[in-house]
Amino acid sequence: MDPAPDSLAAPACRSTWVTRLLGSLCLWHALTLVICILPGQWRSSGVVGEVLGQYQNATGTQQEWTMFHTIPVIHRMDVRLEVTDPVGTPQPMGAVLPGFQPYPQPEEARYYSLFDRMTYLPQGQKYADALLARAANELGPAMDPGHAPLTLVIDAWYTRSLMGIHKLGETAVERTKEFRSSGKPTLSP
Amino acid sequence: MASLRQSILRLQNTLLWVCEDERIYAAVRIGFALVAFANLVLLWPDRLVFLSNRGLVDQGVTIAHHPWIYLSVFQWIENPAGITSVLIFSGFCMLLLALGILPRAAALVVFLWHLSFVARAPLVVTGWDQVLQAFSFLVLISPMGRAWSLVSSWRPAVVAMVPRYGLTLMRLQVAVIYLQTVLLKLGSPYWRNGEFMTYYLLSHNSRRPGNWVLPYEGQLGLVTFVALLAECAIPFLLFAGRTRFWGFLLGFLLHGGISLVSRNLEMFFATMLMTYLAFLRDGDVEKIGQWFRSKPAPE
Repeated sequence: MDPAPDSLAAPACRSTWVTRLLGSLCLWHALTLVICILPGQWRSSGVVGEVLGQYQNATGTQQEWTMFHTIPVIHRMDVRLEVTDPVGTPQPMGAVLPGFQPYPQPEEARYYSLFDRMTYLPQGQKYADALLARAANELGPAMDPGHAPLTLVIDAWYTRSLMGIHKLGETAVERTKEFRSSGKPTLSP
Repeated sequence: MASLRQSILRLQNTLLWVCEDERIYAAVRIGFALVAFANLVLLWPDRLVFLSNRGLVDQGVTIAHHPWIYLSVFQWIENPAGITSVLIFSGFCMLLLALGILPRAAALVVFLWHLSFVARAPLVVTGWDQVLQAFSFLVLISPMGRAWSLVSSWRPAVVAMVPRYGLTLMRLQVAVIYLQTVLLKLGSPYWRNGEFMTYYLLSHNSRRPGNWVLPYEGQLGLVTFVALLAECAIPFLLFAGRTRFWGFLLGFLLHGGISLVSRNLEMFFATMLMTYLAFLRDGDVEKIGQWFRSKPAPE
């Protein structure tokens, strides 16, 4: 194919060095896109991974299209904060800060993503620590962030296998994850 | 060697510098700006929850675990008033972009907004946020033109032909979204055995999660395979001139169907349809205009 006639070229592209620069950027960007069709372990390691990561971070073009690449396992979720009263009884309160608003029902995508990611990301405990310290701070000076009897409770009902649902007649099984201000999260049955 | 160089130059010319109707860029600019604005409006009630130093996502933890350089205006703006101002300014720039007023500057602000939001609150980022973020960069570097802007409505000008590099990258971006997700799904046993859709409708992503789906496992297996096949076919259909219409239709049905059975995925539907605007070609705009003009005027 013949090159595009000059009269058809955009004014911005008439300058040769601008054209070359833009052309190089476009070819580079196209290359970073095509590479991302390859399996993650091939493109995220070594120098390729480093260069690709920095470029995609700066341009906001991370290519992690993992939308429902496997089954969603949570049937229902509820989240609350619990503060233990002087008698030792846990008192539930809304977990959404600021303002201790209740976890939205029906559920909203951003909220369930947030608390679900908190349960499995390595830094989940750190996010929970910060949230609990903030909640204690908002509750008042009586609450010492280090020793506050505050707990973040994430109740998730996990869908059983289809075979399990047919056999037991139960759709999901409840698992509660509790985050406390200090120490590791506990997974209660 | 010389012929190889010539081939590369020829390919580069075909992909980047052949000219297309500037109204296609205008359609993408307007569609992108409006969808980004809708996303911002939906985020508005939760802005302090997700972005402020009084909310749920701690910035210190985010920065400590950010794998690359942390690029977000929120590292300097943490208080509620500042965050509200950033959202208002970003929304204003999205409207400017839609209207084609100072489009390059507006596109830069919209790009920075997406970069900042996604970096600041990774726990709440959704698939459509990532698509919008990727497109915000591509809109920023694309030719803006004057078509379908406020200025052009006052002073109509001849429609210009502009280089297609931005459209090529947008089309490639859409193809990568579909192909990468298809390849990942092929690795999942639940997609391969057709059980995915049953599990999906049992999950809290579904509009009505419950056991009502169980008698339809067989049919849902078929739906699973059809959805996977559609995701695989859409980019190819969109790229080929003769099948583009079927690509648009299949994409509309796929994402519309997902949106109907899912809770909270309307924005994903709107975002993916917006990306299809990049597949318009010369003449499409005229055809759409003719179609509208041919409709009888209401009495």
